[in-house]
Amino acid sequence: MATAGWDLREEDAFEYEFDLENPFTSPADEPIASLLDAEGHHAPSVSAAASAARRDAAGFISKVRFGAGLAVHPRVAYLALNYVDRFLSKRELPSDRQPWAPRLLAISCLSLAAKMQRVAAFSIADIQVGEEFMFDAATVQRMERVVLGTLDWRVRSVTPLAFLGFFLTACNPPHRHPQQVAAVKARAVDLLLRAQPEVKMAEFSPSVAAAAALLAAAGEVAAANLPAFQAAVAACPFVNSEKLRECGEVLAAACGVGLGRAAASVDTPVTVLAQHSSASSASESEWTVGSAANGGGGDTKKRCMGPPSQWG
Amino acid sequence: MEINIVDKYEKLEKVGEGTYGKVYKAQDRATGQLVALKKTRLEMDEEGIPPTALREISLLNLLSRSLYVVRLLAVEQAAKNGRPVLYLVFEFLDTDLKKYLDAYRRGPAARPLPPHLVKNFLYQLLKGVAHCHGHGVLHRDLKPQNLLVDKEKGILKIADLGLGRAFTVPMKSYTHEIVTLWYRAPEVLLGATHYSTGVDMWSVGCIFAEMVRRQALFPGDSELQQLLHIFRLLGTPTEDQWPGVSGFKDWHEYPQWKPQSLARVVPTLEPEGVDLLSKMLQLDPSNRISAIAAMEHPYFDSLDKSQF
Repeated sequence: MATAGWDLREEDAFEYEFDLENPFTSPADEPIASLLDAEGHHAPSVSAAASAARRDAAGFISKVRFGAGLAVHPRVAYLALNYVDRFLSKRELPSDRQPWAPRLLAISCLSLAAKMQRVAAFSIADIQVGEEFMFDAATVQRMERVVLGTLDWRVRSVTPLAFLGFFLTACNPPHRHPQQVAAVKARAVDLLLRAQPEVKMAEFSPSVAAAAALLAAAGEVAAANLPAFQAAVAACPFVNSEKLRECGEVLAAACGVGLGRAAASVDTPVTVLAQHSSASSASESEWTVGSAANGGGGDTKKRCMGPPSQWG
Repeated sequence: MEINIVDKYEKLEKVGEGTYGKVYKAQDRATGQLVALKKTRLEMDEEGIPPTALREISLLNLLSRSLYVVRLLAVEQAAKNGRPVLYLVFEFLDTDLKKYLDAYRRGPAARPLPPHLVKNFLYQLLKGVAHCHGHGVLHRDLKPQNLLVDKEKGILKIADLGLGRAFTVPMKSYTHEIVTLWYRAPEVLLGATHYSTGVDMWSVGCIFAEMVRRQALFPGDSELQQLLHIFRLLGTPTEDQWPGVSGFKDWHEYPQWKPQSLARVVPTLEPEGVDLLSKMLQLDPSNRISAIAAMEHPYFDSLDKSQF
């Protein structure tokens, strides 16, 4: 009789896959209350985000995410860094005594994140090319188990991406502007992925980060409907308007989306931008540079990224 | 991270041969808490923890947040002969609905279940099922033995959630134990390969009737007998009533029975309850009521839902 309980048939291979935008697998039946309840358990702590270990782990993840030919999927990188943050929120890594520890953590989190999602697997050896020494599979697997234990197996993370669907439904009657909604969502995802390494993002709850990203994205790709988005977000009692405004600023700075406007207008919050650029670590600056090229034309940007005060 | 499981838990007795393998009643040595310890058949391969195991256990973890699903307390990673083994640690409840009903069926205190208790338990069951279905998970093997009862608090909890391959109830028992067919939906008995939430709603209907009757509604002892039991009461389905039914793999020619009155098999059940039961026991799964809709049925109008 069957002995290998884990042998898989082809059609089972992706059963119960994890979707960052839909962590509970069925949004229609799962009210926003569950997401809000869960976000508290899933948000990283500010001190963890500011740690040296986090900086090193984020640096490694960002390297394999953007490194030529490494082909780690953006959503794998995103989920992995979320695991890193949550891990470090629960326990410290002695990265001064064990400078290799953050990299081992990052690799293990990448491996777990890839297993959760429907993406092609990557090679643990490939992503370590050029490193001083390589962790073997057994070591990474041991660390995977440490990570799972630390996270209490709560690996269906509730991240800002999980809230986008809720806000978009609140903003738009279903099927009214499906293409526009899809474009706003795609841009919001893009912004959230880019902003994630920014240390200051840890100051905001996932729901607030999602709302801020959505408004920034709406401003860019659906500027005419921005007031509708703003009104819908403002109607959500759990979104603190002051936090939303701050988050919008951090997001704009981290993604460099205010840059086009900076050249065109005098009332750009240049100082905010400058502060964040200088505060960014070396690894994070890659992200800022990488993202500046993205986005629409100057006019669109001007409207969208306009003074943060408009966003609240 | 890896522990020797006996260092942390004292195995008290084997309480079952579950779908995961053996299940033990055990006691957490540190806290004294009683737990159900289930050893999984997980074998770590060269890829480490298999992706399906990761996804399933994390989903189980998520589902068990509901009060109406047995709580997964921990996942223990133990080492056995140098190989990693996973144990799932669940809260322990010493009564299941089968034992609970037995006390009403037999012995000196035999008596019907109070109607409000049936209603209360059914509502909790629906709440748990709706929670699972809302997360895209079918139970696939709901039966009184899989519903644990907290007698003190009057809470009913769904146990033994079968997720994917790792936990699925095999059609033929893994351990050669008799797998009960009594709660199995007709489409499964007929050999459907793709089935949906309706399979659980059929089981809920059977359990509902059993709570009222104190005995099983369809006590078949083979796949064929099980179908005959069902058709004798509900009528042999025709292509008109259930399009596609004669195309199932295991469809045969059956005696042409006419549907009987459902009220006759649950004579003590109020009419609203009979109506709800009839909506759960629709032969064609596409006509079967959903858990969410069932919770809104007038049968529950007299129930104070705020307590759940």
